[in-house]
Amino acid sequence: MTLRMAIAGGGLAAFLLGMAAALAGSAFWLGLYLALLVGLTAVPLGALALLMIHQLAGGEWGRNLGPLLRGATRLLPLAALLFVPVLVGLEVLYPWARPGWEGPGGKGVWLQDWFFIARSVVYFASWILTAWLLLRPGRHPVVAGLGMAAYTITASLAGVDWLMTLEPEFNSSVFGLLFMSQLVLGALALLVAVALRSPMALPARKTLASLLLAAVLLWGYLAFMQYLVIWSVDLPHEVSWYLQRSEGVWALIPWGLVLLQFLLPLILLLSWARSSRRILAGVAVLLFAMHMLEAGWMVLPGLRL
Amino acid sequence: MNRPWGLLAEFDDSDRLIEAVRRTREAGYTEFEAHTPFPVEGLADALDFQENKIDPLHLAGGIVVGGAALLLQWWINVVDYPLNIGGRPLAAWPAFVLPTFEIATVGATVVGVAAMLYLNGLPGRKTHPLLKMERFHLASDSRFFLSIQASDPVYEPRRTRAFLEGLGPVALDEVPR
Repeated sequence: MTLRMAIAGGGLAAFLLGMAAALAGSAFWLGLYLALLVGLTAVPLGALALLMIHQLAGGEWGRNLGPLLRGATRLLPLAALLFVPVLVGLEVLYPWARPGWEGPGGKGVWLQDWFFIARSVVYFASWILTAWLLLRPGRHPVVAGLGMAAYTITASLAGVDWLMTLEPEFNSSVFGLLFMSQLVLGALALLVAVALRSPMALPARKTLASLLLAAVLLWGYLAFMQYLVIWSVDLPHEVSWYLQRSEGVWALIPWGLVLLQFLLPLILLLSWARSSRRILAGVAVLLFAMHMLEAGWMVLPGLRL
Repeated sequence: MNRPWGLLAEFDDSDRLIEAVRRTREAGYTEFEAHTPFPVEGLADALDFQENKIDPLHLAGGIVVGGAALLLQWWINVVDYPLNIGGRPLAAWPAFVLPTFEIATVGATVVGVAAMLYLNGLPGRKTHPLLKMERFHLASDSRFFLSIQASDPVYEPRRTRAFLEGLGPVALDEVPR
């Protein structure tokens, strides 16, 4: 069985399971579906960002990661298709889609079923268009430049729409940027792990380690900034986002993220350890596992079942 | 007999210096050094320069100075001048993180640079036999030098001089002690 068939089969099965969860109205199962979907969509979506960055900035790392980035970006239409169950089950997941919800200020205007669905369609249409233009042979710096500018807006709004509005009272201005850093970190972690399966010279591996280090630092900086600002301001409708996510066993995950998605990778990627192919691959796999766990942590504790 | 400090060969090309360094190492010499006006790529490999005393000192400087910064913030806010700010805990660890990081960075940098200067013998060292050489100031201008010390076990005045001449230097001088 080829990889292509496996992806198509897995996609179809996931689609049917998601549809079943949406139509049965199970918030937990559809929430789990959304968490896995957002975590995995980071791979094509983060790959698109990295592809645009490489077209603009160049760099030797494109030689090892380029084919993987291009391949991953081709999965965007599949990701779009897999979002259909979420859009069908809006009412199951999102409190603002239920009858009787009244948002403060203009939130009610932004959070309407048809507008939310239309925005998701526009996001995916713009990403697929950018990817299609970018994947033609040759270099396309103008597409990459304009695409990057558009991506900054669409990707951060997508993060706000899909994840932040699960709790419509919650506000965080850095949420969109944080979401983008998660996309890049998730994509880079998985693709570096795959790239390391084939033999690679030490300087090329060190470059990949540096890229991972940059992604880890960016994510750590933004995640800590959001926490610090919310902790300092101490407003009930913001703090509750973290309180809900540190109740019971959920409390293990923020500490797990600090240790395993920041401190341990930071130390390993900064030290001699990054010269070892096995350790670097281990760090990449660990980062992708933590990325998926983080997606679950952002979705599941906030669900109003 | 007054033994000289060593020999100094001058090259007008960095590639030739790298080649000379490589062959000097292959000839079994250990106490030799290259002097260049700018960092030459590949020279560290040719010298087989593995020594790295600075990195751990950077790390130690960052940890010690950063730890002191953390302790200072805790002492000011909890012991010396406790202020109730909107009911938040006095030991506001999330807020302590940023200054700790900044000061740890400064600590690592200052300690690293100071350690580099100290390990180079500064500020105690006033002079060096090489600095008395007439043309050695060109090492910070446009020429590339290779020095071999007389204390090297393989060093033998006539043979070492002939060896260096064979490397094609533009000048070759004995360095007095």
